[in-house]
Amino acid sequence: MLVSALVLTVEDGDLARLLTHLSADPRLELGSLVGRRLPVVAEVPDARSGEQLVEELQGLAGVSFVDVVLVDFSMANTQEAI
Amino acid sequence: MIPTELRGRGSRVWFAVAVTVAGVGFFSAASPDPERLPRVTAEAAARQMTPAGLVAAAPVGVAPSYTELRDLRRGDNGAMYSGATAALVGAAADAFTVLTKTPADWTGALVQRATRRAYAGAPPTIPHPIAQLATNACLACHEAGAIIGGRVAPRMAHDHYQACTQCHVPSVDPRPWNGPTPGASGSGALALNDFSGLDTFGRGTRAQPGAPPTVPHPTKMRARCDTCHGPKGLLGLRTPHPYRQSCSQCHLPSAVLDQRIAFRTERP
Amino acid sequence: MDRRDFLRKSAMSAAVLAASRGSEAAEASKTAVDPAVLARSGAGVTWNKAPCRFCGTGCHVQVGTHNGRVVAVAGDRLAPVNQGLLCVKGYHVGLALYGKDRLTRPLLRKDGVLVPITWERAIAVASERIAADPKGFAFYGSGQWTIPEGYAAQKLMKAGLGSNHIDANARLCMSSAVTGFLATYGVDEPAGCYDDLDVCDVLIMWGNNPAEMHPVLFSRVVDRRSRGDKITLVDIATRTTRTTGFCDHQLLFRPHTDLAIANGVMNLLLERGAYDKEFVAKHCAFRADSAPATLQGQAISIDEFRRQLALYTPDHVEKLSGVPAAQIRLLADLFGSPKLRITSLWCMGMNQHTAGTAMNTLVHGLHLLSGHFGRPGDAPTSLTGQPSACGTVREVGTLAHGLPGGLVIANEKHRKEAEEIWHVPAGRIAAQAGHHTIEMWKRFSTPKERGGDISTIWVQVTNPGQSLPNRHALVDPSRKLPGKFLIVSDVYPTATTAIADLVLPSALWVEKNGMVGNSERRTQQWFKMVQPPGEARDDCWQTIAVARSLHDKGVPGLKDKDGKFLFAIERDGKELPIWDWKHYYDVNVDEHLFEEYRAFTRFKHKDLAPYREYVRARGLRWPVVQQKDGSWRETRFRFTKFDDPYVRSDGRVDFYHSPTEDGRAQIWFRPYAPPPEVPDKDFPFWLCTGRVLEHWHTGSLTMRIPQLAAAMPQAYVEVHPNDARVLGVNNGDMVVIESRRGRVTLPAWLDGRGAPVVGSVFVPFFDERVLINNVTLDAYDPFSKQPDYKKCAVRLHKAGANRLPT
Repeated sequence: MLVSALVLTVEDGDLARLLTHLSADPRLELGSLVGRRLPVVAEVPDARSGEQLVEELQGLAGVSFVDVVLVDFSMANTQEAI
Repeated sequence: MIPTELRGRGSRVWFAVAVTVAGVGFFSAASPDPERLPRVTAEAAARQMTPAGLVAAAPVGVAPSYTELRDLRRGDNGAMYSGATAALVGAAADAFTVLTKTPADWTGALVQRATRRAYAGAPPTIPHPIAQLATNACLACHEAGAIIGGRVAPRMAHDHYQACTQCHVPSVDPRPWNGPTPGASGSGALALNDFSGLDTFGRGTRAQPGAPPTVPHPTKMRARCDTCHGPKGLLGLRTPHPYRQSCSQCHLPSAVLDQRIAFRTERP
Repeated sequence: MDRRDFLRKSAMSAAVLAASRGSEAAEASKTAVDPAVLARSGAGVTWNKAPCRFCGTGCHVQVGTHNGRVVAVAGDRLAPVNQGLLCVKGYHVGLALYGKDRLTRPLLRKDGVLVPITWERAIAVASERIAADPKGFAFYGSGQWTIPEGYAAQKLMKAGLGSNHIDANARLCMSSAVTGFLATYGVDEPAGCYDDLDVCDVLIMWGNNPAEMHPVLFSRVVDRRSRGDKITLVDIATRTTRTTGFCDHQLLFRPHTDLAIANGVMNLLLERGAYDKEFVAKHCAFRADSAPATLQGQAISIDEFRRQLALYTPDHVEKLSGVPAAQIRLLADLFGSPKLRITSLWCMGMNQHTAGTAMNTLVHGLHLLSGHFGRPGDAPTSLTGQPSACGTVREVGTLAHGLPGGLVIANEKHRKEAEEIWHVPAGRIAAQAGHHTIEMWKRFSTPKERGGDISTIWVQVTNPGQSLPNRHALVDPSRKLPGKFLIVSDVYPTATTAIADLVLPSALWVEKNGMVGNSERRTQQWFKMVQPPGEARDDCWQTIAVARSLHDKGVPGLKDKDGKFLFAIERDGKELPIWDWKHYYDVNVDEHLFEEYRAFTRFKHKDLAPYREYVRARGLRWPVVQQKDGSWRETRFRFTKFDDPYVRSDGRVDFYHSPTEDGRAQIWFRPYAPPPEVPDKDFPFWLCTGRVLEHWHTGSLTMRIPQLAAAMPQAYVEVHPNDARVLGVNNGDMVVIESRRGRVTLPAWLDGRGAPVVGSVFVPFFDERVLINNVTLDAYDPFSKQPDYKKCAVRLHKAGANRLPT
């Protein structure tokens, strides 16, 4: 299991729809919006799915950047090739 | 490991006694709490104070003196003092504690620093009396840094220098008597000064939002970032990620301030 | 909270922080730049190099200026002397400019009160005094004169007025070092340099407390211990100081018996055969005092030397000095080990000594005899206390007997060379040496009809009202005599401006261009960075302005052979009016004076490079010799084959200015003789005076720096607890110290900065409120004329207490 801290930079537009979509995602925990930046904590089973999640978020309409602030590997499955 | 009861306030008091030589008056806030003093039985004391094999009858119920306690270091309480030092050094905030700070904390930290510096970059003055002749006792507290009675003895930000008082002088009156203060009487103008020094080197710059900031100040004499930015630093200066050990991996110092490139040496 | 929760919370806080930081930065970039914020934040600070204003170490600092003011200081990392480190005085040197009571207008005494006057009037008053009695005019300067300032004063006196009555306060601090070098090597200044400190195995400090007085040099040695180097530090001292704490050995000796110690060590080396026979045979000769005594003395054989020294057995030395014989042997063991690299350091302890010249030659002799000379780490090195004691006073020769470049008045050929460079008629330079410091002030304080031929003294960059010994005799009488006029140029009110007739406000440090020379022959340069306050002006300009006024009055001597003003600087065939302050900085006067002075430096192989080379460097050590490729190379180790381009022979060293003109240095025999005043029944204590880390000289700068004044707010008398008990004195009790010459009252400090031995006391001289020099002795060394501030006899009693019958 990996815990990551992300910051999503969101575009002006239909913000409410984007937030609803994100909050429905069980992998994500949303913080409160600071300007156009949204702090997010993500929990995924392994690094591969983490990368997929970032790509997926990056592809969402209304998201201009996804910054990975930190990824904690301390609870990762050590067998996993990183 | 340190016995749990020695992690309490009592051990801080003991340590204070041990290093008072270094910082006279620094610990005036820490008063002994007899209830929490480590207990030494009279029997144990007597056993340690007499030649091997001869156990003298000791009066029961008499508390050992400080000197006796010091002499007992090799005995049952041998670990007491070394444990105390470790406890003080470790008495820092946990590296994983979540940090909340505001820009006001930053300004506050700079204001506090300015009270002990003529300008940003000046060596700080010493806020407590020191022994005037033997000045090599500084390391007792400042080598690793310590938190004692709510006050922080910062870890030296630099290493390899031996003569502490070459750069750091006390800001408290060194005289063991009340003497005239320069500026207050006599040649009135002594010690009165209009110098207005640099308050701060400012904040580091970022390539883009979210990028690690550069180091805004010179790094000479500041090789150990954690002195100011670590868990024992002032809140406004503390890093949110003290668990990261290699600061210069992400934070670049200024080549100009570090004099890696020559300053202009032509006439202005 | 389980680990997972903890991680999630930490991650969230990191994300929130990252998000908010980004927005903060974005917000900040939108905010208009407030100049006040700029000033606070350090943007817009300009950095430039300058040597520190204080001691003779010669650290370079980086001076940060903003809006025309100095706002910060940093150690210069490119400077070889200090490598980025400073001491507490250096870190606060910028504050020296901003004491609240800077002198900003010329002041003239009228009816006993100093009143402001214009510069025009001030220059006129000064030049009228000089014109009225040119031969009765004396210039008293200092080792804080920049090189061009000292050169201008020197030229005004010797080439202009044809008078040699110019001397400097360096007479009081290092003239015995000069005579020591001259008597040994035939030429002044150390052969070694600070690089010795990086490689020596043993550091011997003779009556020296560098932990407080030359902290950066001391750190350069002791910090090597942090890197795992093993260095043996030996403290040869009369009191325990901060330096002692770092030392492996302390030899505590009775005042003045350092001569016996040095003799004892040399005696052991000879007796054991542990001296460097080859080095001595090739490069040394032996000498002893002649009758009458001269600086050159007379040659003796090594057998005669051995015979005279034989008296100084370890036991006899122990009896004289109080140093255990075992410690004399230990010192001999060190000097007798050819593998060790030994550096000796000394400063005022050895120089302010009525046998100062003798003691200086003994330490040189010890190094020569043992062969601890001429290899990196093997050097006898004297330190100086002022930023340009070497650069100005010794090299420009602003002394009563000196000419620039190590030339001397007494030598007719030298006078001729100087007259040629100065382009003045032959015979302009007076053949008689002028009055040295003590003599100058004695005559100023004596009525004219009783031989007091000095009527006017102009003091620049020093504070003799506080620093001269026996002030009651040397200074005070002049203030009551008619016809005596005292001109003082300074930056703050001092004990000297307080008694002056004319006060001229001066520019300080980076308020002017400057050049200085430190203890290791390093010449340094800086540019003006900020304006002086009010009407304060450069000392060099003041000298030139007065010279011009004398020129305009037609005073003979102010013109050269071609009828041009002595200080004329021409551009396109037209003379620039540099005597007019408005035009002084139209041209770099420093550069012009320095280039002229350079011509003098080739005679004694003290070659200096062109000015522009110093602009680029953090100082260069002379001789600086031009290479085939046009570059300029400094010299670190003088007289050594491997480094000094002037060495002629194939040997390890060549003393090419040998007093015997055969390439040999002189090893002197100097007997121990008791000092002129020793404690007795009436005055039972030794008094030693000196300095503390925080304050520099008379404290006129450092006492105005709050951080330094707070750390050491006043002078005190250091008393041994045993003596204090007998006197009934405790910490802070006021004590009267009295000698045959005067008395002061000040508080006792029993467990303070230093620890005296029983029967001796110590007083720092920085505090103008306690003029300890009313008490000190004005007896001086016969060769150097340097007075002994380190020992005289005093008595003490608790102020207010009834004195015991004596």
